[in-house]
Amino acid sequence: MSETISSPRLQQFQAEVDQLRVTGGRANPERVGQTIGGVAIVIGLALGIYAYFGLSHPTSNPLQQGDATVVGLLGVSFTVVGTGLFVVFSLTRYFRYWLVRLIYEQREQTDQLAQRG
Amino acid sequence: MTTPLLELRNVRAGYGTIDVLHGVSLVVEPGQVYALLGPNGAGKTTTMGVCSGQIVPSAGQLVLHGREVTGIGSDALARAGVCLVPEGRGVFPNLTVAENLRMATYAGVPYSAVLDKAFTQFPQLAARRRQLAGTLSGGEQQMLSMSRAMATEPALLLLDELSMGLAPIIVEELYGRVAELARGGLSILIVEQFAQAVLGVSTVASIMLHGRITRTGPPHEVAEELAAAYLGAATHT
Repeated sequence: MSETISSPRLQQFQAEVDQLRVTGGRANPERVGQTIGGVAIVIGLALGIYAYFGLSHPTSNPLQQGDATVVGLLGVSFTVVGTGLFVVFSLTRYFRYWLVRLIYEQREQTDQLAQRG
Repeated sequence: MTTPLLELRNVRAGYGTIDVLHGVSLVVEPGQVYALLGPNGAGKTTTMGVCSGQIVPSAGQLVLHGREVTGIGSDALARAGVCLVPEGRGVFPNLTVAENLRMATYAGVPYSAVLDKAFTQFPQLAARRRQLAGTLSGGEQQMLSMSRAMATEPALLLLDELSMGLAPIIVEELYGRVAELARGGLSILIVEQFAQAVLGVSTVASIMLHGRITRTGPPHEVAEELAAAYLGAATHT
């Protein structure tokens, strides 16, 4: 066993493992996009509510109401972009799983056909 | 105390939102032949996917020779010397035997050396070098798959269901080759549904059920519990 451990191939393996650049892939890469989308929706809604009840409603100052309109539009933009992100990443996640399932079933069917043949 | 070649630490992994492995831990020491046994659907192939970098764990760690490499790509692992022989037929069916072997030169081994090594290990492939791999028999395809893996001179060989769809005599021949490789000091992780084929070759064995390793020990001890585990698993599902 000790021969095996000190073998040149293992030393080379150790060197190659040390040089590996671990990029830290994720199990569900779409989860980050979904989370960002969800957070953007919530921020957008909060901005919209704040623009009306916090900025526009309590005052008759047209300058402040103009600001409220800008903040409200910003909120709408956040919600639209967030919804887009959430839908895209949810669909990507669903179709990834669906594709894996399809490939798996196709392989199963091919194996069954090959066995019958 | 030696550094294990491969370690899985409490790994959870699966497909999409469905987890298949629920906290798998295993250790492959240098020179060891580790047999991972279990019924269909236990999570063995998913474990292989994690070990070869094809499936990224949702939790837990993949450790190679003492270094955590969780999330590393399968190409980087293959270049480092972790070689997977996948279940089914891991060959390109529309390429000839020689062309399939040419694909193994990615590791930097010259083509002539790859051919020489493959035809020495499996002489029957030499006669079929210009034949399309898809037209070979199941056993010959598996031999081609194995010889291609061996040509890359791996440090760790991952064998997934070598016996799938093959006649017992062919399986015996293939595992004879595996035993030769093991005697040469190669570390091997074998996944098998049909335990008898592999227990004679392995130095340590584990039983996997429902995404968890339920027992690890010397092959002869594990063999005694295997039938009960399989039947238990069958009645459980």
